[in-house]
Amino acid sequence: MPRDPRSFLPLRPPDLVLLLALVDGERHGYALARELSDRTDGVVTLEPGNLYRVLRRLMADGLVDESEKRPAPDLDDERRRYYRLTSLGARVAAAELERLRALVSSPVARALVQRWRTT
Amino acid sequence: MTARRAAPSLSERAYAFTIRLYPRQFRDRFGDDMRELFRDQWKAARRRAGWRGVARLWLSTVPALVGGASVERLTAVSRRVVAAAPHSPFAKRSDPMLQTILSDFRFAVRMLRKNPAFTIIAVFVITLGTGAVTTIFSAANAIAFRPLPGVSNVGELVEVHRTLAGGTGSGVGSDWASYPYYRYLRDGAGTRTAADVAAWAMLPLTISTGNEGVASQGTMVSGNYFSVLGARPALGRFFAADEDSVPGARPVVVISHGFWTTQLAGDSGVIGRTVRLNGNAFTLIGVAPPRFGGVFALLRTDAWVPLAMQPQLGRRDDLTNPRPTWLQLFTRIRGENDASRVAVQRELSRLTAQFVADGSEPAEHRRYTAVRVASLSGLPSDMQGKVLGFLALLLGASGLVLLIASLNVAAMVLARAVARRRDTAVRLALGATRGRLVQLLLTESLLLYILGAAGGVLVAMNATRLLALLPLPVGLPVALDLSPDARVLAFTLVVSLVTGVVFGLAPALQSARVDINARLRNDSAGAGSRRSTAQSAFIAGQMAFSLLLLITAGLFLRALDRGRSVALGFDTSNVAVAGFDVGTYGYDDAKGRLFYRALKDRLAQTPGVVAVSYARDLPLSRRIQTAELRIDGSAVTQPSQGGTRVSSVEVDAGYFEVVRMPILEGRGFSASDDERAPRVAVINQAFARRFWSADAVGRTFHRDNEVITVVGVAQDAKYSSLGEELQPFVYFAIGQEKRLGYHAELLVRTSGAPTRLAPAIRAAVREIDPLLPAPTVTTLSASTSGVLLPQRVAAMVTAVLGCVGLLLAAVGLYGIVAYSVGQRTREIGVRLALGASRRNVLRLVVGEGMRPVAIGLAIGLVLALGATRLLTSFLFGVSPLDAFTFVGVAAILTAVAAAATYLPARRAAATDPVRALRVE
Repeated sequence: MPRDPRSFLPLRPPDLVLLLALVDGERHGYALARELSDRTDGVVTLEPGNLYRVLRRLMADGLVDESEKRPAPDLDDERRRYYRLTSLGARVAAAELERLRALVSSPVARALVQRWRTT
Repeated sequence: MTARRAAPSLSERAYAFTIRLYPRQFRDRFGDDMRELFRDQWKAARRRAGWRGVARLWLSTVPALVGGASVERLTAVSRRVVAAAPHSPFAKRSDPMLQTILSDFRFAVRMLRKNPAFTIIAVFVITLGTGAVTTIFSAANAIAFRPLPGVSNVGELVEVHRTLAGGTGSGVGSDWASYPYYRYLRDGAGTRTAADVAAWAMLPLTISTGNEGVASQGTMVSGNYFSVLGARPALGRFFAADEDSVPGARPVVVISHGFWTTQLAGDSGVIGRTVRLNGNAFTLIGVAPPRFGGVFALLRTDAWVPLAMQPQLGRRDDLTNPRPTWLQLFTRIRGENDASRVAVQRELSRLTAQFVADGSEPAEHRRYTAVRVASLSGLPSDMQGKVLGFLALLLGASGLVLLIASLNVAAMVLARAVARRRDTAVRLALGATRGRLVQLLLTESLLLYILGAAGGVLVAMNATRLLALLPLPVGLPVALDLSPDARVLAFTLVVSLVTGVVFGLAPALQSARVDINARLRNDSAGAGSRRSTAQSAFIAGQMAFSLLLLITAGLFLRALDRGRSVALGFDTSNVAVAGFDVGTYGYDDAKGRLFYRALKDRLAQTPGVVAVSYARDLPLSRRIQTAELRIDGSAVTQPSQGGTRVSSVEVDAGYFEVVRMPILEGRGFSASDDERAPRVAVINQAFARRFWSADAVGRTFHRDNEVITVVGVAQDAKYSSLGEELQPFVYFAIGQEKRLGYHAELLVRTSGAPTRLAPAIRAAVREIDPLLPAPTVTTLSASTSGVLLPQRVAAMVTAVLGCVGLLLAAVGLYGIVAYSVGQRTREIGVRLALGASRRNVLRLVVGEGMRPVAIGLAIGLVLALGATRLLTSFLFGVSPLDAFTFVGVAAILTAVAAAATYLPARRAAATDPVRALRVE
């Protein structure tokens, strides 16, 4: 029986970014690493081992699945392993976004953003 | 597919090796993917920023990898602990590698604690070595590699330089932009690829938050400056777009975090308060993040104001005048790849060409029709190469100290291995493999190095504080924080681990190679020739590297000496100097003229003053202007239709008297050379020789449309650096220039100590205009001494490193000779008993001790002959093979080594043969 998506919440920030990066389709490791760095203003360190530690956790939880290796057209056609979102993963990401939206749309949060807007 | 793959790079192989830190299980599953991902990252980094990008990648990868691997290993351990409980689901898992490491580690700790003297000395020696490397790397890191504080995604930021059509050959003036040009770029480029071009310029400010004004460093910035940098305010907000659109309309200021904490006590209620900048009221709207310094973190900035406020703080017409170039530009390129970079460069070049075609620019700018973008380096682009080379040099020198220290410790470990031969033999006899033994000894070595690294970081934390006290060239507001950060710690850890393995391996392999039978029979004769060869090699190595270091230090000292006696062509003694920027206090040209005249008159009547003058910039200040001149009646062909580019400075009447620069023909400037008089210039001998060969006085040249007559020839001098070649140089009369409101330096020749004139100068300024800040008065000799900074720093650092190296080498030599004398007590006793004289014994021991020293000296000399050539550019003509230095240093080293062997030799000679023979 699949777990309730809400039991995974709240997600760690890199987990959410990775899940979101997989929404549009399968990605290989390098694409994910780049996505992670872009979405976090380069704050998240991208040492490969750490990326795969996160992926392993997501796979253990059944949020992400891996495919067989196949050629990656953007990387000299070398063979890469691809990762894709499971339906549980998609539901968890959606639940997390829902949670964040509730957080962001609260009056307190709005007032705070209004007051401390940076630009 | 595999056939197409290139051979793995060094980085890739290194990474493949490093990921062994992860547990095997993890590696089995992800190892291949990790290596591939790393290769992708490596390729991208190299494509984007060359070796610098690769270095950055490694600097971020290593700490992350060590961290990730530690967590993985610890998790594995905790699983095993759980597994010890019955019925645990993890019961089968275990990590034999970790088990072995832990047991080796415990053993190593026991061994080191059993020999506290050995441990303390070894750790101390390693501390000196790693301390040297860490200190220098820490400084280099702060100067060249530290990411800009408060700036996000530095990799996307690029400097924008205007260049000639080919995209090459940027002139000195072209690194800067005029405001009209900048606006044209910004308004045109906001479109597609180039997000936003931002601009900035420094200006001196006096900030008053209460009654007292504080002399500060300000930066004028475009309204998009902070958003392009991606900075977030620590408090309040940054500039809104409309605050940089209408000139003079919105007096708002952002202050630095440092200014906020020191001058405003970190009060969070300051937002909205009024502060006065150069007397004008500004509203404080924000506080920048801590240590934020824009694109050059090394330059200190206290406050930022919008460029639109320039007319209130600076020269009035700079926002409309296309002539003065005073802005530096940068932009952010999204995506960080080559294609978008090229696209931005093309787009900005297109706009530049359009701007030139519009024709509103003065002729001298019109040749620069293209734009080149260059990665931000944290250093001004013209200094980058030199600074990096210099830092690499110092880092190399400190590396030699670590090498000496490591050889020293290796020799100690080897000597101790002799004492443990029996122990080793027993282990081997009981079935330990040599591999296991080597691993055990390596663990000990690594432990020593980790302790030493910790000590080295402590040394660095203190030493960098001393380094930061070195005097810097005056006139630069520098915010130098050299202290080690996380990256330095990671670097030190990696360096000491690598050194620990490399230098632990040799003695470990040596000691594992034990003849079991001989050892178990407790045969103590003969220390083994292979071992003593290794020991000699260690001594020779230490001597060679000490020699190299000391020769480097010696050469720098010679250069410093030479630099002090270089004929400058003018006299720096007894001259007081003070800089003025009255333009930033609302002065226009006419008012500036009146001020400078009044100050000069007043000072001329002050007792103790011999002569007073002004110059746009001080000699040797490295801010040299150039002018394009068309020389009339010269046989020399002009390189372009604009004419020949000649270095120049604008000076006032009396300048040549103040700096005592002889006028060889004609005259210097006089008070009558003003705006109404015909334009005149004084040239140097090199100028006259190059263009006219004789009779220069009375000849003319053109600058733009002006005809300028040469009225005098001054003696040749040094203008921007001590090492420079003799070059044509021209002096213009400052009174004939339109922009007197710009920066000007006051120079006063005094009959007594020039610093004693400071109160009089400050009083005179206050009397003429109490709103001006009191100027900082220094001396010409102090301000020109900055040109010797690289030599002074290098001489000091290499001398300290050289002495540490020599001390280590000498102590190491002493220790080894003393040890071998102790081992050979019986042999020496026999020699003495058989009739050898004490002198014979002395000669024997000293001779044997000095042999590796001699070999080391020979190797060191050869190394130095090859290596010192790299220093040539710092030496002011001192030969890199300077015989005096080479012979002197070799003599010092020999003397120290002789002393280090003589002391134990004397003890050996004093052996009582009867007692020696009774031993055992």
